[in-house]
Amino acid sequence: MREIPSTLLLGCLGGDESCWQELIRLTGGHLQRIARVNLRDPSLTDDVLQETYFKVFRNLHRLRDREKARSWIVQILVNECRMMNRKTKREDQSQGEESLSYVFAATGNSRGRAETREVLVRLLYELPEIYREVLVMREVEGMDYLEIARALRVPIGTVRSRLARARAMWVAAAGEAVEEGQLLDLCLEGGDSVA
Amino acid sequence: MLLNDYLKRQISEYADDVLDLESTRQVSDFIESNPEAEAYFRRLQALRRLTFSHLGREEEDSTLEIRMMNALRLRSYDRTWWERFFERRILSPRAALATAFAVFLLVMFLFAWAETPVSHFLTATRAEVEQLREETTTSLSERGGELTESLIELITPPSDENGTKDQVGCILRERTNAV
Repeated sequence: MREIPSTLLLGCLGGDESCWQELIRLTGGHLQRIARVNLRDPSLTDDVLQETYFKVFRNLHRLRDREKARSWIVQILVNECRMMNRKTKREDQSQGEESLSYVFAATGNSRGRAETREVLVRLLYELPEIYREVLVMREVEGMDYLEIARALRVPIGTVRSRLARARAMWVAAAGEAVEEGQLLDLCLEGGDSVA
Repeated sequence: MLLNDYLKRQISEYADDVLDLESTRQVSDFIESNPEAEAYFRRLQALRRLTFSHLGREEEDSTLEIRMMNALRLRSYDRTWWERFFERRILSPRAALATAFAVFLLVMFLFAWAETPVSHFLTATRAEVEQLREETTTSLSERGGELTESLIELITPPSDENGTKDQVGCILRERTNAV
């Protein structure tokens, strides 16, 4: 996600609707990707984004350090994803059924690509929440350690250790997926089999 | 040799290029000399590349901002008028500031306009209350005196001499005053 210019934030604070629209345009794709991988039910991505932006609208005037706007918005999104996951988990439990679907909106061209994406999302989703969040921010969005620490409100050392632990679990899970023949792309693209 | 958590963490940070020069050199040498570390590093890098190429480069959703803005507008219309007022305040703080200032001026004007009549009313009410209190006190004192005298008349036997009557009267008056 590109940096959010201070002038844009000032425009938003001044009530300029076109600035709000530009803010959503700048941050939307980034937030959408994080939400899709972090949500139990990715079809709820729009709902979570809507709630996130609503909270940004309501609380932007409280943001003291405008340079941290990006991390701040991601932090709100992560909290919303956690809340939504808790809610869907409760609903699943009350219905007495396991409805984890791993549906992922595929926009790729080939069927193979869509399947690979689905497997990759599942690999990420199967990690515990605290590891998944940090891994998605780093690997999918390319956020640096400091930004991740701000977004998750944890010390940077915690980000480093969570990331290392997450990657260890991730690589192991990918190895199993390759063994089961679910992730052939990794052999082709990586030049070396994960298994 | 199995890679322990410390080594995996070093390799993870090496992959992100966040180690200092000396640590980078050490990890690099370690990866070159240890087949298991090398395999882990290559697997990790392959998985990172694959994930980023599939999940990190999705096409931008061109209608996202329009959908979000519409949803937010609709959401504000679903609310009650006072909630909408606060939404508007957030979406448009300048207008809200102007409104707040106008409301403040109106309150100040009303206060200034009503101060004299209100003060007058309060002073008159206070004087009236004071007067009523004084009248009530006087009336009660008079009534108390009359009752005392009646009581003296009642409890003193008609055959008694004036001395007894005066003594009883004194005692009753003292008690009454004490009360």
